[in-house]
Amino acid sequence: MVVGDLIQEKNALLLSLEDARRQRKNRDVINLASLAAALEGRIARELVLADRVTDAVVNYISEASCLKDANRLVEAKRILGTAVSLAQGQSAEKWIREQLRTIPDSYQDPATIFRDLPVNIQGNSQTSTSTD
Amino acid sequence: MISQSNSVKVADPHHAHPRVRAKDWRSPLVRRLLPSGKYQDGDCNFDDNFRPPEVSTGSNQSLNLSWTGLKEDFEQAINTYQEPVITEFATLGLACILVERRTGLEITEVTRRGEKADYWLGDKQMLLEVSGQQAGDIDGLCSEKAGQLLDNPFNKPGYVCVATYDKRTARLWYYDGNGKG
Repeated sequence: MVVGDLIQEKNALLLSLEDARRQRKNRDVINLASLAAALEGRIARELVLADRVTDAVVNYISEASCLKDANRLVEAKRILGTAVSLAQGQSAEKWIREQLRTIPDSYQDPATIFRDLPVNIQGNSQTSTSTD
Repeated sequence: MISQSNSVKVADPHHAHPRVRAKDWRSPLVRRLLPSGKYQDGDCNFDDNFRPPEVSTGSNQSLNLSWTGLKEDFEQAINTYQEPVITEFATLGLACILVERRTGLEITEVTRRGEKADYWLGDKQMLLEVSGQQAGDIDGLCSEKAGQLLDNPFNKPGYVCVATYDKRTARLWYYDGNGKG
């Protein structure tokens, strides 16, 4: 699919997403936002390949915005990280860094919860008891 | 008298913006042009003030907007959307007409940024900020929207399209980083 077709399909999804947000159809918002985010990501990658990095930043920001609507905050943070690396020195960099700060640090690395959890096993001792 | 070139069929403007779902904005515009919620084919004059780049003041112009055959679509629209949404969509429909007529540009892409949608003109050349109201101060609305437009993190210029429906008047003004055309 060429970029023009991707953009057309994404436009329709984003307008439907805005409509669903207005009508507070939360399940539709999550579904549409996920679909739109996937297309924004594809468009952004195509623009990077075409050496249109500045334009790609717009679509990465939009992808992250959609992912936030879909409550996929870990992925949103990762995409904003990509966007900020591409926007170094651009006017968008500061704005993206502000957006990054809106996502709690707990979403930085979701695996941390498993890595840092202290072992706390109780009631599993192998003590023997004797009975007469 | 309005010349033929100033006549616009409200049912058609989406043809100039095939990449966005501009069809959805026709009936809301008709609703804002009609005095009541009862559909009838008709037409009206609509004044607009256009300011292109590198010009400090806008020039007044007028369009004759006509509509026909939209009854079914109209009734679906007014049964679906609340009043503020109707006004927003109406102004997007009007923006489709004015952007094509006055600038020759096309609304090509919608992207999201935070809680809002951005409309892009051309190949991400400019942004379009749109807002309408049933009644009120068009100067104030235009200034407010210009501030929002120029607050974009991409440092892009663009057009603000605002409308006030009780006076049937609209404005399409260019703004860049200097805050004016």
